[in-house]
Parts: sequence; structure tokens; C-alpha cells
Amino acid sequence: MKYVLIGGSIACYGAIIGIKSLDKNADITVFGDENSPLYSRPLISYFLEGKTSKENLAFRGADFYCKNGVNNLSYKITAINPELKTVKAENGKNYPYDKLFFGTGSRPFVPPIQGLEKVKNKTCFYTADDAFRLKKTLNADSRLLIVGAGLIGLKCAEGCYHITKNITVIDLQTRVLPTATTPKVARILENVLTEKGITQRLGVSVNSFEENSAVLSTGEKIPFDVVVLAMGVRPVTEPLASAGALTSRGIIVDEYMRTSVPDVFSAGDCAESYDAVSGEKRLLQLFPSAYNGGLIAGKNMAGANESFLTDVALNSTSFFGLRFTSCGSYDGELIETENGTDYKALYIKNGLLNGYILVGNTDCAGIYTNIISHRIPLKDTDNKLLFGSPSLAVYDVATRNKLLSEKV
Amino acid sequence: MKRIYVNEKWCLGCHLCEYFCVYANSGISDMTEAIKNKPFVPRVNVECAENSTFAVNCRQCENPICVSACISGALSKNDDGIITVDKSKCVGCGSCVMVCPFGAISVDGNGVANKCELCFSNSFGSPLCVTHCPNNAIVFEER
Repeated sequence: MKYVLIGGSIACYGAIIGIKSLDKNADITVFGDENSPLYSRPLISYFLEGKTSKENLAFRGADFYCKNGVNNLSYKITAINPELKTVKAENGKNYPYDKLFFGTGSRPFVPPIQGLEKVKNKTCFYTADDAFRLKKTLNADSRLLIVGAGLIGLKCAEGCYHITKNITVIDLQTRVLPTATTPKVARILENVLTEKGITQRLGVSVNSFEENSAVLSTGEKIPFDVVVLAMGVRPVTEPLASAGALTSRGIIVDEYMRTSVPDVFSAGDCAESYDAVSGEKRLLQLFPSAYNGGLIAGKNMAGANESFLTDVALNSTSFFGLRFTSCGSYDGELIETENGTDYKALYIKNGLLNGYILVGNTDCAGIYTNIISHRIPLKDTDNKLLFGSPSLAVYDVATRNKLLSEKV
Repeated sequence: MKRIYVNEKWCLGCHLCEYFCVYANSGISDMTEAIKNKPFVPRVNVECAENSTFAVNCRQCENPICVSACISGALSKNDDGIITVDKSKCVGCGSCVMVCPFGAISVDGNGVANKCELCFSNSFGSPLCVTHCPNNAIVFEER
């Protein structure tokens, strides 16, 4: 069987593992446009921080493709022909497929801002090359301006903090991590940044750029040496959308990760897939969603018939040593616990745990995650324990015995 | 493969497994020196339910979701089926802690993932929590 994979990041990685698990002799070709071995994008801030090396960005080894017998071609795919079952590469050649995986992911969103072209030292913070560029450009005296206080912007600030302490983060929203967290948790994280001397200008936007300064919506001028544009990402749906695939914000896939085009599967940042909490199709754009969606797609491309119904929003990281883990939706009755620097929010709706945010102590967070992603009703758990400190003890004795006495 | 299984009805709640775990993975030959006045982060934890206790450590899942969620490549399954941590690659993001449905992975004092590796890589070679469980509540066998 001839498999063609477009993309070359985490969803493709999952798809390769999935295909190989069922089809040992699979003929797999990956088309990526980054000209690099498979690497893990969330590692780039840790690379700047010095917590991982350039070599280790290739998180499953530089020889991952080779070891799995995968043919890796660095050509951009410009068209897909579902009738002939071929993809057309930028070199003009057509490549046939039996099963196609579309894992193009996303690209940074940069709105048109007046004067942006005048800024010499600017980058997004998305690829390994972006991190290498920042490492080369920044020095201890650099004034760094980060536009966007989401996860990417804040992790960029933390990574760069090991090079320069002169950092300003701005966001149009009135708080940091506007989509990943709540106002209360945002305040905790803002205090951490403030303690480190990172300036935050929230509820403002950049009206225009000069070569070395930004003029804000307030009229204030912020001088800088380097700008990072971290205003979120958008799914890359071309060229599959032009080939007739159903799209909304991303490529629509069913629970088997099939697109509306026969023999074409998709997962990762470019795909809108089933979210277990809302029960709706959503862009999750997170590492575990990409890997697991890719894995299921790969298996199904190789003949399996598995569905993926346990996907939920998941984030785990730390900000200057303060741990932060979240899951699901912040929708429902709030149960809040504060204990020193530890904070916990649980969201409950219709007898189900819908989401959580843990700051500080994140021990056994997976107990909550499992209950959320598998929609385990709270009538079946010991909720005094669950709302206090999670462990397997929240399940009844029969369930525990089964879990601890059987192969899993 | 041989895995660790726990029989809750025999657990006395003595926590000896935790002590032997920390000792086994300390690399120090004297038990007192290995434990006393040191950070205590065992890879097996005795959990307390209502009127009951039981030990929990990594189940060495056949399809480990900690490995799939690992962004750094630190977690992997070796040829013997044991899920291991390459501490030099771990960045301490906590993704494994976030997804382990057993609550069997923690982040240690150095900010890296800490989990049971069946004592295969320390000087003991087989799980010390099992050897020293006084009531056979923890066993190491093929099922």
C-alpha cells in the first residue's frame, strides 16, 4: 500500500506510528516544507531556555524517518487530485497514493499592521528556525517586544528571559492567556511575570510600527530591538480545500479521522475533530490531539476501523517554575480550592466533570483528565476525594481491583 | 512481560514500598543515608480510600498515553516493554502527569518526570517494592 503524508510534524508522526503498527511493509512518503527532521515544536521555548539541546528538538531521534523506512521529501504540495489519486509537488511531479494523510498543521496569523515591513528584526515563534533566529539576534541588552500574550507569547518570553531581561508583552485582551485560562488564573500568572520584571501591556494593540518602535492604540510608543509576532495560528487547509474537502475553520473530519474526500484522512492543527466535552467538532490545535488523531488516522489508513472520541483540550507547562495544567472546558459550576500558592478550579455540569485548571500542585492531574475525556459520571466517583486530592481511590473498590490486577 | 499487580485486600498501608522505592532509586547503598533528610519522591504511592489503602505505580501500559503525550521524547517504551524516562531529555512540562489515568507519574525535585521502571535500571534489577512488601500485596508476575 502506498501512503502519502503531507505535513511532517506531530500529526504525521502519529500517522506513521499508526500505519506501521498494522502495515509493517508500508510504502510511506512524507512531504514537508521545513527541510528538517521530525521535531517537536513545543520544545522551542525550552531550547531557548537551555533546557533542551538543538539535537534533542528531534525528539524521536534524527533518524526517525530512516528507522521507519519513511521517504521524506522536502517539497511543498501544490495540488491534490482525488480522481487520479495523485498529489502534485512544487517540482512539477505527480506522486500517486492509495491513502493520503493531510497534516499540514497551522501557520502563524499575522494581521496587516501599518509599517510592519520597516521592522528588520521580527519573527514569529512557531518553528525551530524562528527559535534559532531569536537566539542569534538577541543579546543581553536587547529590548524584546512580544505581541500576543497567549501560550506561545508567554513561553517565548520565558525562553528569551535567559538571554535578555528587557521584555514587554502586549495583548489586545485585558489579560494574559485569554483563551487558555480564566481571569483569576491570569492574575496569578501576571504576578509571576511582574516579579520577573516582564512588562505587560494588556488591553492594547499595535497601531503601527516604525523600524525600532511600536505605536500602541493608546498613542504610547514602545521602543524595541526585536519583535516577536505571537497572535495565534490559523489552520492550513490548502490544497485539500481546493480539491473539494469540506471545511469550516479547518478540514472537517469524522470520528475515524476521514475527510469528506475518499481515502484522504486528516488530523492535527489543520483539522476540526470531535471534542469529547462539547460533543462538537472543534479545532483543538494541541500536541496530544495531533498525535492521537494522527495515530488513529494512520491505523484506519492501514485498514483498522477505530474511532477517536476521547479528545479534549489539554495544556501542561510551567511559567518560571510555576506549574500550570488545564483540561476541557471551563463551563459549569465552579469548585475552587486555594492553598498557599496552589490553585485548583473544577468545572461541573450535568453530573460530569467538564474541565479543570491546576496551578502549582498538578499531582495526579491525569485522574481528572481521564474522568473528563471518558465522560465518567460523577455519581460513580467519591467526590469528596475527587474534589480534594485525586487518586485511584476516587473509584469504587471493584473498579480499582480491576485496574490494578489486569494488564492494561 | 512481567508487570506489577496490586491486591488491595492484602495492603496494610505500611508505606514500606515507598521507602524501598526511594532507596532502590537513590544509588546510595545505605538506606538511612538514602532517605533521611532527603526529598522523598517515591515512584510508588500508597493511596488512601475510605477504610482501605493500596499501592499504585506505573502499570507499564501496552499503549502508554504518557509516551504519546510526551513533547520531549524523554518517555519511551523499551524493547522489554518498560516505559522509561530519559531524564536528560525531559523538560518538565508535566504532560505525562496530565494524562496518566493512574496518577502514577510525578515531577521530581529536579523538575523532571519520575516513574517506576521496575527497578530494571538500578542496582537491584527487580522491583524492591515487591520484595519488601510484608504481606504480598504487591506482586511481580506475568498475567
